[in-house]
Amino acid sequence: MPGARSNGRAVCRKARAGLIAGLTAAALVVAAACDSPTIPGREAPYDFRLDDFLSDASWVLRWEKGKTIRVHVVGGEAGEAARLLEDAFRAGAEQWNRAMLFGEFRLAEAARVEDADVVLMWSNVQPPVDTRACPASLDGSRAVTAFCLSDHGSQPVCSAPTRRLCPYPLLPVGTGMSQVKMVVVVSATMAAEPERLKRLVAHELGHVIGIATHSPDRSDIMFAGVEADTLSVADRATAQVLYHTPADIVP
Amino acid sequence: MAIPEERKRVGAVVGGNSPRAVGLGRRVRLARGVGLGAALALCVAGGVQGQGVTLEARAGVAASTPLVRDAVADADVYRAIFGGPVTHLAEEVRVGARVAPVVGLAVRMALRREVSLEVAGGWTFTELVGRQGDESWRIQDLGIGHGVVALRYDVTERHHVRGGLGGIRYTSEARGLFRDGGELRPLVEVGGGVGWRAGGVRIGLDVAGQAHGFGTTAFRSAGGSGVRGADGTVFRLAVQAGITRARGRE
Repeated sequence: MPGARSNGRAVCRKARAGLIAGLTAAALVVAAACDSPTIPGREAPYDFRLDDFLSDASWVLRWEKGKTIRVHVVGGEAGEAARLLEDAFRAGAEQWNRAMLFGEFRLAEAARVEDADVVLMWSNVQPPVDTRACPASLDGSRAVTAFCLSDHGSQPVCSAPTRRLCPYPLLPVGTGMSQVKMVVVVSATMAAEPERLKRLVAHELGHVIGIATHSPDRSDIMFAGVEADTLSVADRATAQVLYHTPADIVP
Repeated sequence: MAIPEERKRVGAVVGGNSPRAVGLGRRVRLARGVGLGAALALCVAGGVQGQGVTLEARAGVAASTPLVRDAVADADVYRAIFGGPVTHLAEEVRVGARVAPVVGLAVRMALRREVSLEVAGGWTFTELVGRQGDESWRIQDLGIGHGVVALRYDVTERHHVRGGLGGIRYTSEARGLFRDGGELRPLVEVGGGVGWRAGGVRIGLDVAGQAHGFGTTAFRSAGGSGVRGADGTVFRLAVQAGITRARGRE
């Protein structure tokens, strides 16, 4: 029965090949499942929550994940001052954008105020949005970031814990609608100090993305006195933790 | 920055930008690209096939385990930040490639009666997606190119298994995880399939599992690694239909 024996060998060979392939596949699955590329939890972030003076609570404020935060830069008529503010915005936006690994947000420039979520402007130029109901006054500061919350009227889209925490958009001067929720005003005197201006704008952009308080550490860009030139490890860690913490207020 | 005193509402809420709406045109272009690529591959497969060499055009879908898992922050981190009882917790972030179309070509050369050498390459048109709890967000477009040299064993007239080694590279816009570019990484592949003759062609259904290391400069600079201290491992699964011109035994 040489034919039957040879057939039996062939079946054994095929079964062995199938078994080896199956075991190899199973080993690969197990290896992959046990060895995922993993980033550990962050160290050294600081508090980023918004202090609520009315309720004594603190809230997490951030844009929705994946959002492109469009900033309209209003540099005014003076060419050099306008260029300085745009340069400062680009440098600051680049730093914050590089701090994020997973596209949680992206700061980008908007050519028209109608397309913008945020307005960045000198203190001596006319604002392109109506800020009367939500004044962004410097009050002796070198820069300020302001946004407006409301408990009036019906807010169709707001997930804030209470209605008074619903952000609302500022109307453009003139006709039309806008989605501008924040205004950043920089003192016009800062045009004389371009390097300091860059630090200051990077700091304010930290507020724009949602870091609502100041770091206690001088080496962080979000230190109130703004002494650091670039984002620190703690600044980056704070932004990363902020964007993976459930938000209370979404502009 | 603190919550100001009560303010008047001055306008209706305008919806934010929708990344998904922007992605619609891109998907149409992607579908066109996949269709064109598959048609081109079929033409090549039909025309170039020669004696002893079989050319197969493949198209299907590929899925993978996460490229990166990120713990972000645990209870201790929140306790250190906020002090007092922990009121916020971050769920693990998983970033990976969306299940997406893959197209490819395979060239086979018979070595023995049941064994052939296969050189295959493919491209996956996908996008990088982040997931955390119930949330998901699109990060950026992602292209995955791979090439494999494998030994194929015909178990029966219709069934085959194969295994091989190759390389894989993730390509994307230079930002975020890929801000310093992707890297070519070694790849191990095992697979198998079944085929049927239909007229003058052979239609095949092929399943392949791939395992490869993954890491980028940005990933490593954030402290990322696998459990063994090197870049971690990603597992991909591709299910593809293939077509070859039928001629004798394959």
